[in-house]
Amino acid sequence: MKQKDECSFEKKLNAYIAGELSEIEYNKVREHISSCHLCQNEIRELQQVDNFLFQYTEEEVPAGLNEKILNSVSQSHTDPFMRKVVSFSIAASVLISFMAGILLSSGLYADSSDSNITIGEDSLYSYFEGDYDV
Amino acid sequence: MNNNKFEVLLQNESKKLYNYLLKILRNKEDAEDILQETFIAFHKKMNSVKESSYKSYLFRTAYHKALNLIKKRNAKNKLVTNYQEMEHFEDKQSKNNQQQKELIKDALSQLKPEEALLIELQFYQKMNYKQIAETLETTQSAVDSKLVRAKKKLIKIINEQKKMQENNLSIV
Ligand SMILES: [Zn+2]
Repeated sequence: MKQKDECSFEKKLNAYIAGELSEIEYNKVREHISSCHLCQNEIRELQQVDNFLFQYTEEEVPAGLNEKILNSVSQSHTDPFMRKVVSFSIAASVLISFMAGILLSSGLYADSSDSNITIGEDSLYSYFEGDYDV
Repeated sequence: MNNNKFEVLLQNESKKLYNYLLKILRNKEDAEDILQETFIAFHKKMNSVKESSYKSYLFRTAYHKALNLIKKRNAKNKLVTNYQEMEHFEDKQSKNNQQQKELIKDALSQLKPEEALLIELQFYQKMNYKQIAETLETTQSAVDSKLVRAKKKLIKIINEQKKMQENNLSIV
């Protein structure tokens, strides 16, 4: 039992509304619609969808977001290899200063007194524990 | 210079993309995140994209990134409700606007993501079938038939929304 009537023009109606048909096709469809109730109803429904969707009012992009994007893009502008080199050299220099610190505290003052060494170790230890603000 | 071009594109397109993402993700934070990721990804590929395809490329990227997020969300079974946002709108006019917006977002999120993208490109971005076909890397006739299917779904959804609203009114 087939309930819904169908019209062969129905498939063309969306393109018709959207202005996507050639002039010849457009005129054919237009002529047909004037005498087809099925297509008239269909067009009404399609236009209802259009009206519904067009009620959306655009929202502004949150303040500062475009700038944030620009910043992150210009930061990534240096190529990945150079970024690795830079971050490696920062890490290396931090490590070197630590090593120097240990050498200084343990080596230079090793002979003067035992307590100095303990202080040096203590402060280094608490550095790793996060007691100091870097 | 590429960076100037990028900046102009960002100024011109970010609002459109942001609103597209709002419609399908229905969540401001997610829309912001995906917008940012989209432009950063675009910036990396900019040199290999034709200038006439910038917009298509941006929408396609945003679509895929949003799709991934939606899949993750579905996996987590996390429901997104935005009703609190509506409370911020005090005067009636903007409250109505906001409610209407929520209905549109609700309707679009019931479509398949690909269908929602088609609707977005045709209605909000005013692309013709040829441009949409390019964006989705498909044919114009496929665009047409998919759009028809999407709109038929929307007709049903809109009618259901109307029924729901009428029921709500009759309860109050
Ligand atoms: Zn007909």
